[in-house]
Amino acid sequence: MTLILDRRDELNGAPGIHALIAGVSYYHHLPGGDGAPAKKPFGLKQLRSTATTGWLFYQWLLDAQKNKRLPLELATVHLLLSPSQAERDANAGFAGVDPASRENFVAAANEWRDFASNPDGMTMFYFAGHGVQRRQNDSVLLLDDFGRPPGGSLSYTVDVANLFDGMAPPADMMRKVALRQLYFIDACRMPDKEFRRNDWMNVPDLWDVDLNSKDDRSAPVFYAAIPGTSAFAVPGGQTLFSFAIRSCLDRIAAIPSDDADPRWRVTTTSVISALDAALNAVNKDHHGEQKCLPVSYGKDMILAYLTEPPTVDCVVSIEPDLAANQCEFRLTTGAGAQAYEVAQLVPHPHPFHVPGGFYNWAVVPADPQYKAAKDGTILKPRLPELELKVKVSA
Amino acid sequence: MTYVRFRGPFGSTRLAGVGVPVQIRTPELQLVKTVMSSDGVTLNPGRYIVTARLPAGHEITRMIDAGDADQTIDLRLDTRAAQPLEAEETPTYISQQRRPNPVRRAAWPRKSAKRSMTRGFEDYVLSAEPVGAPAVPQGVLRCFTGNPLAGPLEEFPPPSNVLEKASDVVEYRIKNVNAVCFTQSVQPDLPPVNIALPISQQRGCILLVHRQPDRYWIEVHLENPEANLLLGYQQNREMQEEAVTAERLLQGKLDDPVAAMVGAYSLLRFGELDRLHNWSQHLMDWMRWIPDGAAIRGEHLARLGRHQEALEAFLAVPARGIPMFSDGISFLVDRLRLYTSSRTATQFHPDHVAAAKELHAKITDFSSYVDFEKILTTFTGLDPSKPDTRPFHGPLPPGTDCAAAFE
Repeated sequence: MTLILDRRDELNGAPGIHALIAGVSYYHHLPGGDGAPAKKPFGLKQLRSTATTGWLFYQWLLDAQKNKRLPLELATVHLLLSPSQAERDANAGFAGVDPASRENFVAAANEWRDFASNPDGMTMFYFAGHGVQRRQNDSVLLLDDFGRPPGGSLSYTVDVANLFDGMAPPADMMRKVALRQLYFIDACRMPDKEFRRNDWMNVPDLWDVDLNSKDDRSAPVFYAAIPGTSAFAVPGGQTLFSFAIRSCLDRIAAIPSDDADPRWRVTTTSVISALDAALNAVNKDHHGEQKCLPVSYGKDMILAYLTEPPTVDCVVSIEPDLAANQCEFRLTTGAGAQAYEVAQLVPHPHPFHVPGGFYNWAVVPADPQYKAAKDGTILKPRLPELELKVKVSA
Repeated sequence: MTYVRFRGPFGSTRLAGVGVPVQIRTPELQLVKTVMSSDGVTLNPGRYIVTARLPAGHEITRMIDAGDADQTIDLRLDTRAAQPLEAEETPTYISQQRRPNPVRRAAWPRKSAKRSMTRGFEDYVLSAEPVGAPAVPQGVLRCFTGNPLAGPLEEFPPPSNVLEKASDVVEYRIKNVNAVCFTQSVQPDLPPVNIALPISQQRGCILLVHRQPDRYWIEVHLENPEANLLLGYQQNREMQEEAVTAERLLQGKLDDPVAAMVGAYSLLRFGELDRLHNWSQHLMDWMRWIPDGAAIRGEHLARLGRHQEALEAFLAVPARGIPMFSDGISFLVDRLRLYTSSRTATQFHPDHVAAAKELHAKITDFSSYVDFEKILTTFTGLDPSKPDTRPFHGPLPPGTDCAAAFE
């Protein structure tokens, strides 16, 4: 089943989120596949974690919907997954999900766009799998029948530019499209020497792209890789980019409210600001070398809310550090409630965790040669942690 | 009511008076106002939290207890009596090099290692890499002017007089001139890097040479400090601050076309199409030699759905040259690809389509060597009119000796 979730009747015409998710690990025409070998496989191999990554993004959406974290109700989800055998064996959820073939993708994408016909609605797109670039700044997504003979090498692929352009507000004013659009392209952007040799390989259109009317979409595109580079994944796990995006959506990119809704939220701009740090933390954990490229397009928009303020990992350090074991540290909320207290800042620098928010802090040295210090600050998520430096030397 | 003024955050004479976006919140984190630090703000009595973020990632938080008396809030990070050197403050707080990654592992020197990671979603093995570096890196700076799309560029004398100097940074000033110019850094065994110089008749720019253990790193800063701050926010992806700074920049009376271009690119990025209405036409007509004016106008019109006019604007680019900012190149590549596709090309005059195809081919080839992570157009190749990725080998060409500048 491609349309795995359909709540349109329940929403009764109200704007909602329409998601299209595709994850490809198993490629029929790459070495190890069951199809005739691709004539030009570009050196690509079977994958082991990208279908799982697509599945996990779907699960995140369901969870966010359940916890009322999404900016709009989740209306529909088109899900296409081509898992490896190991992924299939490990996750019964893959059964019944249609494979991410070019034919299925074209059908799902066109239906997805048709469903997203309310300008107040929102679309989300997530692709995890192989990708290539023919020229700098280009991005082509490889579906599970990539390399299927006969035909051109890129017959069973999707050009991201064609996808993006086709989602622009149509020139026909009677046709509408959701003006909030979010794209995650979790794929490599490696050039191949074949593209030099054959100039520009054609990718069949996903749909007819007409010239747009006024394009006032908010439509950021988060590329997992900068042009000319690879994306990385933990074999049998998920992609590094998906770890980082999840970390941003759930905590790291959370910012306090700037409207009547007091909930902390994650926005396009907050993700763009936090994504590098999140990805670097993931790189560190998994010895990766990935760099991503967010491309902003249009106004800032809310991507998700948090049900409660995010946990902030903090570390307080005292200068001079010799004074740390003689310093009491107190942290109180803006309302005066005690949030954290320790008689000695040992170990030093001293780690602690609190919910994000405004706090007053005080450092009181026992030794009179040092001076006490106090102030107020907003504690919000930072990586690796938010550092509070306090000078107590006279 | 309390009137609150801000001092700082910058201390050097060059950046004194440059405002950064400041958020004022209640202790419950309700947003009260966003203002520029160069402005004052009137607040009702109460406690407030003031936060500001600088392009290189520094965060400033201050608490205000507003009563009846006016207050001055010190936002300076560096309150030493002696002001930091002019050459220190800009690279420290407005660095255009992406801010250092606090959690990045030591990547150099590196030994061979077998990884369990998947690269390109395929297994890979890191090969051994050189662990040594020359004691003093070698390199020269060169300067060119001209249109890389039209043929060879003319070399002109690179800057030789150091403007400012700190331990690992040397500054040069590139004088104001009405021409598209590039600086080139040539270093042994690396591809020469060309960077567009954001200069005009009104303002020059500042060239920063950072000395690193194994190479030199070139940064270009606008002479206009407000526009330079905006460029810093752009490069470091601090988009909330970028939006506020861009709006403020364009509120002022701008006599600097390059600063206006920086602001216009931000407005396009944030989809402020209505606010750009007169600006983009003005930018295109104001300085007819600046390629970016035509690229901005073309993209603006394309987003408004006025595609005939958009194509005409884009076609004005090649006579002017390569846009100074990489966003301009992206606009050209993406829009011309669409306008020359078989389905949409029929809607344009055949002569325009033919010209668009020729330009698209040229700009697409050129863009293969452009680093789209950089805001200023940055590309590789010893001959800027024939970009390539070949590392430079052999005796360094004449130019400003980077090593000598640090002696």
